Amino acid sequence: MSSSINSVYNNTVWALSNHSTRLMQLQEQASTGSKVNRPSDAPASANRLLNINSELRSMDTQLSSIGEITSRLEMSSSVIQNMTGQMGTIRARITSILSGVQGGSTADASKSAVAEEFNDILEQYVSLANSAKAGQYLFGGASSSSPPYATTLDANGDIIRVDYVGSYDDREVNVASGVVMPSCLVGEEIFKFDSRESPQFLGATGAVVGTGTSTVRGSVWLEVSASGGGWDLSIDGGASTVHVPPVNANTMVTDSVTGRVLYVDSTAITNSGLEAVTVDGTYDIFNSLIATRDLLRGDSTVTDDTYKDLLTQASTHIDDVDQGLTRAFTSIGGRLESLSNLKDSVEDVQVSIEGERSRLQDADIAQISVEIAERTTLYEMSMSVAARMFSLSILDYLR
Amino acid sequence: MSGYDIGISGLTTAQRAIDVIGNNIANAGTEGYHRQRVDIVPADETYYGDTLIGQGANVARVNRLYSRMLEAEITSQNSSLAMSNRKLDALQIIENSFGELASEGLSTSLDNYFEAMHEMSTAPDNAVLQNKVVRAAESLTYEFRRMGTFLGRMEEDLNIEARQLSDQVNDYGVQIARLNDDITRIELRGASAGNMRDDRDLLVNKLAELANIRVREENGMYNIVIGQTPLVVKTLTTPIQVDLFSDNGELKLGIAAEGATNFSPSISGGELGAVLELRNELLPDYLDKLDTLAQTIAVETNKQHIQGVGVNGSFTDLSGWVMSTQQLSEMEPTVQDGTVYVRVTDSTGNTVRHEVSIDAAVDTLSDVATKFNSIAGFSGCGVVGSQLVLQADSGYTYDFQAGIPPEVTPGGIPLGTSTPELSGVYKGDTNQIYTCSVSGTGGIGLVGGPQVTVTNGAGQVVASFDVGQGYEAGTKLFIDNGISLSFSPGDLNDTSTFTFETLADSDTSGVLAATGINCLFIGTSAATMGVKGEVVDDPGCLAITGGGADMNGSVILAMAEVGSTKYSSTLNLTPEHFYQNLTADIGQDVSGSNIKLDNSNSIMKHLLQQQSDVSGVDINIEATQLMVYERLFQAMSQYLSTVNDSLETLMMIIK
Repeated sequence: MSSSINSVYNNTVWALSNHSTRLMQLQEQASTGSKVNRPSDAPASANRLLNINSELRSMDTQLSSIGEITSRLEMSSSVIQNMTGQMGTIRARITSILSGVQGGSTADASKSAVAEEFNDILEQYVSLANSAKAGQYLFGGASSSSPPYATTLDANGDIIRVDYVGSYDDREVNVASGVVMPSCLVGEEIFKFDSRESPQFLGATGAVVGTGTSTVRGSVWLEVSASGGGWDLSIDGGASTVHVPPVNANTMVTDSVTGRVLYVDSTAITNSGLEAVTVDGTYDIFNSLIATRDLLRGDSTVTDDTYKDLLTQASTHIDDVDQGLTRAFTSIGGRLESLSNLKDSVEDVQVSIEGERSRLQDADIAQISVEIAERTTLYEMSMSVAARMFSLSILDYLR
Repeated sequence: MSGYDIGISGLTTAQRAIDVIGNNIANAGTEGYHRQRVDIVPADETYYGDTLIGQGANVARVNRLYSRMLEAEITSQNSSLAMSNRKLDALQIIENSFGELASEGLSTSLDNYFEAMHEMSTAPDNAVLQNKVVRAAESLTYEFRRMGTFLGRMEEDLNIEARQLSDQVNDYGVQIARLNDDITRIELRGASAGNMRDDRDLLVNKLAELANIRVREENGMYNIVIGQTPLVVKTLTTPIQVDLFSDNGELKLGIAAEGATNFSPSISGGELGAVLELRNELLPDYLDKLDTLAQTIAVETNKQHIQGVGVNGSFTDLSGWVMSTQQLSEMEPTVQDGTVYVRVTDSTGNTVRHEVSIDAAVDTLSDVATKFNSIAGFSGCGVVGSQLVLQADSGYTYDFQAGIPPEVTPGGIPLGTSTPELSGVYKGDTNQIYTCSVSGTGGIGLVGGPQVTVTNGAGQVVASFDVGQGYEAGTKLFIDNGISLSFSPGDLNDTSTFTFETLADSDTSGVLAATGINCLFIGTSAATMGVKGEVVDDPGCLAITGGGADMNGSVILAMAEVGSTKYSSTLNLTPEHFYQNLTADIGQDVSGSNIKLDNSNSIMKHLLQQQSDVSGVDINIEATQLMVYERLFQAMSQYLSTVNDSLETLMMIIK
């Protein structure tokens, strides 16, 4: 093999180029801490790495969504806990009044005081049901930008009706790959209880429940008044009436404000008057309090027996509402636990994927340092050998 | 006097040999130089009496140490090496422009956009999150535009580069043809044209770096062919041209002989080969995939966005984008026969759903506007400046929400006093017509009340309800696919029926997406993709919900799902996986080219080593040769002195 100048030059350039290219790669790896800085550095791993990066970003969002929903549910849970906390007071007051009434000793002033206390609690409940977090109402379903509960006030500014004006739609959020959960609570599903029983008529008019399925909720007052040889029936305070002949087995009486109906069998009506109608299983935190407050205020004139019956029922309804709230609280707790498990699971997967990314991408600094030293030595050797090759020549020995 | 002649021939031979050695040493570092050697032969013998005696030595010729096979292989490898080098350069630039793994590339923008959608689904009416989605969409389209424009510009640059390379090829061709002529002239005179041959070989190698060539030597001249074009034939050249031509409707860059039209879209090897491959194959493939990705995201997102409304609610007027054609049949994305369902709400809040039938083959934009104008609540629709404008009358609003209709359609027999009401968000995949049949006459919630049977479009019974005694009027009865039905107090007539159509798609024709009505994204390619101006200016226009539901974020969630849905256009991959495959493919191409370049470099290194062995100038060898011929010169000088001394002695005798 000859060693022409061009040959020595080519070999030297080739060696220096190799070493400097590798040194640049090592320097990049050392400075970034990553051995894969572009897909061509490791084509086999590139697709997986890109996928991992995407998955990790997705998991960040999932954890953020889980955190947001958890935060809302915790606040909702706290609201319900507050409501439940008041239930003990309400129950105690009713029991106390009921004992007094049964003993014939409770003064009207005492009833009024309790009624005012219940009114305050009612306002507090409405306020709690309209709780918001960061401008988003907790119990409005998909309509979270406006208060879900609207109140109707009487001339004194007292609440006489609370209506749900929120959304019945859920709002679904992707909380994990393939897992979708509702991110909001529909107030009607939390505070309204539906185990409708047959309406009970507590009065002396002789009206009894008809054969249809009524839609009125909680307590209503059926006004019966004689008219044209028959009876006029109304459940909206006289705003609208239904005239029935003296004998009619089933009449649909409609509340012109709410559109709800009460089926009445008027066959046995003998007297005009006010009939208290209660529908067990349809009481919620609002209508139960409104009914009890109004009863204690004595807004409607009823007999003592009816009063005692209504008060006894009020106590039962509060118990039902309390149980309903407890169920809601437990249900939310269950969802919180599911979310907590989901969060743990997502975090576990996240750690595992981060480990895989580290294995695929992270540079071994110790190994790089050793290789840099090795390449630097080789680089210097290449230059040294080239210099020696160029300096040695037989021409030096020619005289 | 033959002694003198012999001495002179020796001296001359030694002198020529030393000259050649000097020339070799002088050109030791000259690119393309091949070592030369004098070919020394004995001079003709002469009879002296009966004895035949040699007459010294002559320089027969000066040889160039040259291996034809080796040089041909080097030329070929040069071509391959240059092609790999150029291809790798371009691919590395493309890979770096994608910026994946090293910086925040398109994949980050894709993730950020879809994740912003998911995040927004937790609170769709939150203005901050709406703004975040719009900004993420802008960022995504910016990335698409940046990369689409970059690849498009690179295509233009390659067109220019190819033309410059072809000029260079033609220039080399002219120089080689001229050298063919010069070399032949010199060698016909019996002289050696070694240095000129070196120059010509050097040019051939430079030409090989530009394109793969076939070289054939004929009578000392090179004939060179590039592709199908004979670039050099003896002393003549046929220039090549590079220009754009249509290849099955696709505009490609091709090579042909000047004046010819039979363009070839590829040649093997050399920088020109690399440029043609990049311009005609790799770049269009990357650009096509990027465009496919942009189009898929835009089209699929727009399909959902069209059917939604934002916090601003329904519309009073919407404008499409400027169309290049008025014919629906020529639009992109394609329009097909179908129906547009539009919900029109009057000033009293009463909403009615109308149908606009689209005949893709014959309808124009104006026809679509006219059809809208025939609907109550529209009269000002038209085509303004090539844009479809849907203008509602005063007091009216409209939208294209899918899902349940605002009201049911009664059949022939009157329904009764009870009113059916639909609720829920339709989750079916296709538009579906449900038919509800009443059996039995009676009051809702009453003893002996009616039964209602619901069948779907296929005639299958999907639900059956007893709405008599036990049914509380107003209670929702679940039917199918997320929708429910309730009845107000009243009665229903026996054998009466009513129907309702639930929509998964409120525009089965695709005309709204094609004309840009209520779209989120605009543009038909990566380079032209953008976010519609109205949404950028007012994120309240961002569609959030649909199906007539409250702000449940169903449209946002559906748009977010575009990121994790597999589409046939993206080869049954999700858009994100499709893009990841594209970047991995580019990485693979870079890596493959790198390996190929390393191999070519390694082969070339060995070939050059071999060339050096055969044709390289080794100073030590040349110096040794120099000593040999110096000694020869000294010896011949001594010989001449001896001959002279002999003659002088003889002359002394004569004196």
